[in-house]
Amino acid sequence: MIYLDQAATSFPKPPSVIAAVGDHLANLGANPGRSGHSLSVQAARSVYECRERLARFIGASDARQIIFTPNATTGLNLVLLGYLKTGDHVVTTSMEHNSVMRPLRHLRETRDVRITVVPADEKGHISATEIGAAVGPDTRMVVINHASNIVGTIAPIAKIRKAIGEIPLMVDAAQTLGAIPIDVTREGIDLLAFSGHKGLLGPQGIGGVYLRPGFEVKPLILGGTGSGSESDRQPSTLPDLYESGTPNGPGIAGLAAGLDHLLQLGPDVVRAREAEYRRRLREGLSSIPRVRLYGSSDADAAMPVIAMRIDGLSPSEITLRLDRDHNLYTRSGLQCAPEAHRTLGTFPEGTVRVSAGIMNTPEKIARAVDAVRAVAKT
Amino acid sequence: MIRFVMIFASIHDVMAAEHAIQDGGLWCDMIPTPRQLSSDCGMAIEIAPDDLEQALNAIAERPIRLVSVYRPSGDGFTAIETR
Repeated sequence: MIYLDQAATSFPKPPSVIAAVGDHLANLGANPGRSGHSLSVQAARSVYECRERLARFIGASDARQIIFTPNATTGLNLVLLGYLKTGDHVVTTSMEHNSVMRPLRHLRETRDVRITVVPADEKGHISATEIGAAVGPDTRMVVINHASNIVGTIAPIAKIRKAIGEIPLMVDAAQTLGAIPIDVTREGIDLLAFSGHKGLLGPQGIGGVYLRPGFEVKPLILGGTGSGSESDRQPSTLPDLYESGTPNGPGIAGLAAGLDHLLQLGPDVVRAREAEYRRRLREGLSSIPRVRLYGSSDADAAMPVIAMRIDGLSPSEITLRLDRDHNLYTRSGLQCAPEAHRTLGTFPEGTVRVSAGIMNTPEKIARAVDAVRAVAKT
Repeated sequence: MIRFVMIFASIHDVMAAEHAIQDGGLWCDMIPTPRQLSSDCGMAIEIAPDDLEQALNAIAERPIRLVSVYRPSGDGFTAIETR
């Protein structure tokens, strides 16, 4: 089996992540911070430790500003729906995922939020100058996909930060956190949504969002937090303000183990390995007759996410044959980002997405290229 | 033995305070918040009265929201003025 759908979720997970989730379910599974007994305290400690580690990982000065959510989508929704008001202006790009585009469209229809979508070029590159030119006095937020889930191109966050002045910057790091070092304080990122089950190697069902200290957002969900129980008023302090309901304890334990795995490897090793996989995939696939690749050819400026087509075959036919004949798992279609495909000129059929990650091996990458070659010959 | 009870805004603050106090070389214990105290969180921290000043300094150095400190008084507790 060759799994090259890492942009959807990383697989397999490191053994330490599997062990941490199992240990939580077997030995630690009380409700964190809800009861006074020792097991509940241990479970709360597990959540606390993960939050602190994440804060160090992204350069946040206060771990309480990291809110756990079920996924990056919920984090993005929390900020967009909880912050933008009637008549506000937002600048975003054509490379966004539907997790940004759909909440924004909803806000346009329900709150008259005005949206400027800055187009990327045909390779998926975003121009910071164009973003800077799109912001105005009413712009309340700039929302940027850190890396495209279609072609892997990485947005120039530092340049965008400079180009937009003091306007709040929200970065969707669903594809990048764990693979590309991010320092929210140094890079001036006000809001960062992330997935726990992709580059961070945790299980599905855990993600989060970082809010710059002092950045006020209305909570999406209200309810029990284990704190201030004598009052029916939602607590005003973070993280409790945004974390009602029992958290995903096993997921958070697994996420902490995923972070440890990445830290043991070291960010340079992770980045180098992924750049190498992108290079090998692009070189191998581009040598195959009838195969057409989209996006940037620069391995260092993109994630190992390759958009591909084979002339004469539909994307869905290609993925089916790769699956059935070669046990190679890829993803066809629009990958939840129709606007990005319009930008690349691949709408509405989409592409075959071949996405690698650090859990892959060079041998499997080579076998994947062979499998595509075999399908392209038929 | 008399112990002071510290109340925090959230369980995260309790955990962070425990680390801060212990990193300062002081003793503390995490306990369920005594019933007599109107609490912002289900857990609290006990410290030795003599350590109060040092514990407050350790907490103040980190992003931790301390709500109040109490000392035992009869059957209940009395809040201590802390700056």
